[in-house]
Amino acid sequence: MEYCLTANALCKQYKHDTALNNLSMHVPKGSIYGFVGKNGAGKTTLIRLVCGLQRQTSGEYTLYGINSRDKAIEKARKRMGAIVEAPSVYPDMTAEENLKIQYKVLGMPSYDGISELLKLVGLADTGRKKAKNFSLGMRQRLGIAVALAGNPDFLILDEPINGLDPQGIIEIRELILKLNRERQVTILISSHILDELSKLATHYGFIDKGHIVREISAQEMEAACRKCVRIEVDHAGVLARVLHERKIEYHMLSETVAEIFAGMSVTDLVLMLAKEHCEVLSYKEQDESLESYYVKLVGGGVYE
Amino acid sequence: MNRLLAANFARLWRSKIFYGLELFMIGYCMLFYRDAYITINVNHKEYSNWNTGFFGGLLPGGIALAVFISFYIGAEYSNGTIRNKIATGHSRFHIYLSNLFVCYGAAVIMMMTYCVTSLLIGFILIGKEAISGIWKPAQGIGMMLCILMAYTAILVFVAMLDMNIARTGVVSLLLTILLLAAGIMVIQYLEMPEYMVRLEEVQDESGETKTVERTVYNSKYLSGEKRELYEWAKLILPSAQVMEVINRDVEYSVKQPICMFGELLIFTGAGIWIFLRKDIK
Repeated sequence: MEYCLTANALCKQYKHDTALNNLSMHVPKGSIYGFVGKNGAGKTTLIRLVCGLQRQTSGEYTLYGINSRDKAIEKARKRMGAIVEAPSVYPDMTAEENLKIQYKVLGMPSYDGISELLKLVGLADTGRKKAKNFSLGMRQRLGIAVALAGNPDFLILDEPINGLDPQGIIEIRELILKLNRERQVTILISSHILDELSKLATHYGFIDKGHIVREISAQEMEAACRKCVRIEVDHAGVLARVLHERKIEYHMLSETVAEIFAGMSVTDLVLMLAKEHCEVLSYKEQDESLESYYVKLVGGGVYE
Repeated sequence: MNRLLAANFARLWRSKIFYGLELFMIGYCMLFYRDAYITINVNHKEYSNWNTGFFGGLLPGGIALAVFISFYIGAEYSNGTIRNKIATGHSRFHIYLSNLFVCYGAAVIMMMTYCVTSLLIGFILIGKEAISGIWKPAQGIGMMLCILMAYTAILVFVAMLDMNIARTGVVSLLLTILLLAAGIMVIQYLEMPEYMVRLEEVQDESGETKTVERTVYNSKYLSGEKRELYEWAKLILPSAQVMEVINRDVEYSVKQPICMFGELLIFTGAGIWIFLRKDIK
């Protein structure tokens, strides 16, 4: 698999705090990578390092295969757009003026594409309205437009839906999906709003205390969170045969425990197993969401 | 670097603060010539301070520059737009230098606005005298550009290293006032005469009291190493150089621009060194 961003044993130490502790992560090309963690877990610190705003204490990361210690990392960043914490825009300028300044920063030969970009983020009709008079959602979208100037392949969005109203959240979600599907932009998105993230992400990275505790694809996550029945029996072989014969999807977790991914009558199953002299020791319905998965993963610690 | 300069200048042309400070410089200039006009035409007194009129913009210019730089660079931090530049691959070295160049450009434009206004208003209100009375204008303008260079480097140093716009503004203004006070003090000490004439009352033989003039040594007169130290301070302090250019028929020396250029190198070098290692939020 090709990666846009990888981190290896990355550490960031502030005076008395360890913000990142041996963090390793892998953001596949073309993915929407959901970066999940508590406040203070190290999400923004990692983003700051990748954006070049801060330097790691030790370890390294690669951006498009270029090592962070290599001088060429600055060139690699030209392929990247980012919103770190809040959208970075000039409040006394209109949306168009903000984009013109960013086009100059990027050295774009002309202003072609600005109107398309404004249309893409839904700010085409803001006219002479200054960014300071924009709503939070509009500012967020302008921030995304600024980050998208120069057609980056990789977009980093730090908490892009924080403080947005439901309509704003939907708009940002649709924009992110559109960018990923239509423009094949790889997106690293950090968020607390797990339910929202689950509607977007193709991959997840869970961070706790400055360390990635798990990286998982959305497919694996779906499997892990799938509604199932966890059953414990005394003869797993009998259970496997019974389920196989009836073409019921299952997964053996141990020699006595299996997960069954189909709705079926408890009575029928118990009777079938009893006929084969297999005793059911326990039976439990499992239904996990991203939230419960995350809480289970990081130990459900107190949120800061 | 060119891209950053283009973006920074585009921002400068849209800056309301910059235009506000331009108006402030023009207003200050008009006030000066109004006073000169009243002195000559209403009070019928002689007036010859045309050097102060032409170069006097350096005084309000210092304040204007402190306000401009703290807002211009401070806004980059407070709006977060400096992150856009770093995150899109611009080197910190270039970001620092481009900010320095644009701030210096703004400083020169502000001073040129003042000088052109002073020539125009001086000529209209007073006549040729207001222009011909300027002492060594070419060297003065050259020195003015050197002073602005050093002063801009100091203020950019302060603004680039502090991410808090309000603190930058306060520090820059205080620094300007302190530098000005230090400059005036240094010049005053150096200008003190070695001997002073003191009036003393003495009784003559007949017992009458008379007032006589006596030349006495000025105990505050700086001599030896202390004087040398003050001479160096005058060279190093941009504010002292401002007083020199404004007030007197100064004999310019090559040491003056060299010192200003040295300050530019020291503050810019130190600023870049720290900025390269700075954690930006």
